[in-house]
Amino acid sequence: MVISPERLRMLEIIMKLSIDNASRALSKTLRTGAKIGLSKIYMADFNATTEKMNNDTREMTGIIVNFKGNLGCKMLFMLPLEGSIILTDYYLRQPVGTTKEFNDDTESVAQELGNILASHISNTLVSDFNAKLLPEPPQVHNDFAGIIFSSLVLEQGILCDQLLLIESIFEICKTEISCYLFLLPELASLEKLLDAIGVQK
Amino acid sequence: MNDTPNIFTVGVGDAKITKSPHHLKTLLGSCIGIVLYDPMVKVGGILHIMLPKKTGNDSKLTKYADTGLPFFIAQLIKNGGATRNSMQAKIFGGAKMFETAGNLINIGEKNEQEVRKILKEEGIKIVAAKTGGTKGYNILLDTATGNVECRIFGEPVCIY
Amino acid sequence: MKRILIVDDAKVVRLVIKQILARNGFQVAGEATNGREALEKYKELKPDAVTMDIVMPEVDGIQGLKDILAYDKNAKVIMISAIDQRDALQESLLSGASDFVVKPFEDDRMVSALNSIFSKE
Repeated sequence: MVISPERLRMLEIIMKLSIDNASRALSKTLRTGAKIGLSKIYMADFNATTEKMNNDTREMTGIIVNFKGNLGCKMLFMLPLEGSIILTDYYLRQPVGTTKEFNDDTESVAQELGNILASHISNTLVSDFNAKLLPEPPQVHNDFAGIIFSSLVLEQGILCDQLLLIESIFEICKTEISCYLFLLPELASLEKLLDAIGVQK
Repeated sequence: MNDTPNIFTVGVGDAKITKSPHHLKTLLGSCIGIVLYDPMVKVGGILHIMLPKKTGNDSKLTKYADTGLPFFIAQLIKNGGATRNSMQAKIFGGAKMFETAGNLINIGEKNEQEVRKILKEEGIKIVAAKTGGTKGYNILLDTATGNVECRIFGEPVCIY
Repeated sequence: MKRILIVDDAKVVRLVIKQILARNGFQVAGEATNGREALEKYKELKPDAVTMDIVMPEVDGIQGLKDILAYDKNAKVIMISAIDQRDALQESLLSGASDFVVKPFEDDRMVSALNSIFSKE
């Protein structure tokens, strides 16, 4: 399935709005800026993308959220393992260095950050896009970056060789932490929504 | 083919074959990586399957164990010069990952069962296996020796 | 001292809410991690009010709210969620929620929500 340039442009604007809202919510939650360093939307070849990502063996914390509603969509928020430990201290308003290793609190903070991001993304899509979209409880998993990414795209990759990916990088101020946010909408339901709001094919 | 070892990466649902001195690597979660190696001609490959059985009209054979394995074996023989009798298999992966994957829950276990069944039917012996768990696998095949370096997330490297 | 039941699946959110309650003269009656547990704890602990998340595993917060109000029509339940959508807000308020606080929130917002429901007694 190929999406038209006009539709892609429209989606890019709506998705950027939703990611802006999510980053503001993240900044407020952590009480430090979460600046969007990059945001792009593109069609990705499943094989080429997973081949590239299979070179990425960085140790990361991945938070995957499934959305339910009339737009099939998944979100992945991925950050370095050490980053998730630092953000635990930010979230709990305690001096950086208090949390020494990935523990129950770290997992819970990761889960909550995923929930905040997914909720605010869905809030924007619901109001601006006429979608019905609610996040499900987030799942947290520590692993190699390439494997976490594959877990996001695996189910769609079985059905289709082309994926529509929305990719953003958040830089957390006062730290060296770069977080990756991927949105993977399901193309068929996305096209239906675009039809419904009258975006030209 | 030159003598400087290169490392090639195998994507999800894909397969690659190479000869000594080159290396192949991949990452595996719930997918199974089947390493086939012929020590006589020092040729080997990695097949990275996603699902046990092919359904629908998808043309990519290497995503599935039932279509990918016979194709992969034939390619090793035809293009790599391997022989079925001297071919050895090592299998990795099949972990339980995120539980958000809908129909893919417990797919790792089903993948492994299908791979073992087909290798048996094809008459290829499994000489090493490291499967299951809840963490990803990072594997590297050295075609000069047939050794596979395997690192499970959070664990030390083991050679198979 | 008013006793509050905290319902949220994330341990750290419960921890943060506990700290805010303690700083502002409330007592924590107990904690629950989904809507089903919330009803059980409500029956057992008889809190003065409940803070209820929406997105939780097994039984979500809107169902938890309905179940608690079916058991005790005078229950005071404040929804605390990052979901800021008309449908969720309407369903919560029509089901009898006392207030709806959107995450992330300032401490004062939650405290004033609690003070406001108790001032109506």
